[in-house]
Amino acid sequence: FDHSKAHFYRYDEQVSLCLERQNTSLSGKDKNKLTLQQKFVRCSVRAEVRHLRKVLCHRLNVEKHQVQMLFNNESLPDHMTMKRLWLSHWFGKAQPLVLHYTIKDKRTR
Amino acid sequence: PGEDEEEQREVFEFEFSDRPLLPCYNIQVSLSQGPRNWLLLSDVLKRLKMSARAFRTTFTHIEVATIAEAEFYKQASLSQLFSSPDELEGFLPDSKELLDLVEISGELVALLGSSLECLDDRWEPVPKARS
Repeated sequence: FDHSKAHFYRYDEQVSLCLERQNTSLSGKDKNKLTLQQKFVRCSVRAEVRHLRKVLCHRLNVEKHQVQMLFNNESLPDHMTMKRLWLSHWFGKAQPLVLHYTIKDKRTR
Repeated sequence: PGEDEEEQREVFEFEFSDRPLLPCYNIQVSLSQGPRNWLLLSDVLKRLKMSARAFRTTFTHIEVATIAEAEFYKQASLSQLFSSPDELEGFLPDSKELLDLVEISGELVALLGSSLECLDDRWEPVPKARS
């Protein structure tokens, strides 16, 4: 068969995530603005944490340095793939994999 | 870029939903194509509150593939993502029954109330969703 598109990410296995915002001291108005309304996410197992951060920035209209991805309160490295994350932190558990994110104040670097 | 070139571009797609996503299975249904991502038609119908007949009449262009349940189970159980004992417990490994599947597409994603976010090879967000 035609192998020319077989490498496309869309044909990869897809991982199911739930992205919860970590509680921070944001005011009520910012809290809503900076919280994903659609928190259930599906993407390729080859997507990396940095891609997720980028997409979150786009969705929440914030800068990249403001978003941090966490699992069990530990920051996740940018180049970790969803597959590796699943196998090392979620293997044997049911979908979706629950991740947290924090949004830092714009001025904080 | 032209349409062909656009189609050839490889993008990361992120599906966002405010409801838990339906289980997705990476299955090869025919020898003429590689593995693709499928939803069970029964799950889709439940979510859309539609009958199979209404779905097939309304969305005549959405192809419904069939696979023997045993073959489906064999392939799905190989996935490390389905390592939880609960995930595939509703399926029978030796069943000869046929399962109906629908491939995930931009249209199906929209029908289910999800939205797509795409990143191109420069990791920049792109507005165009897959067809």
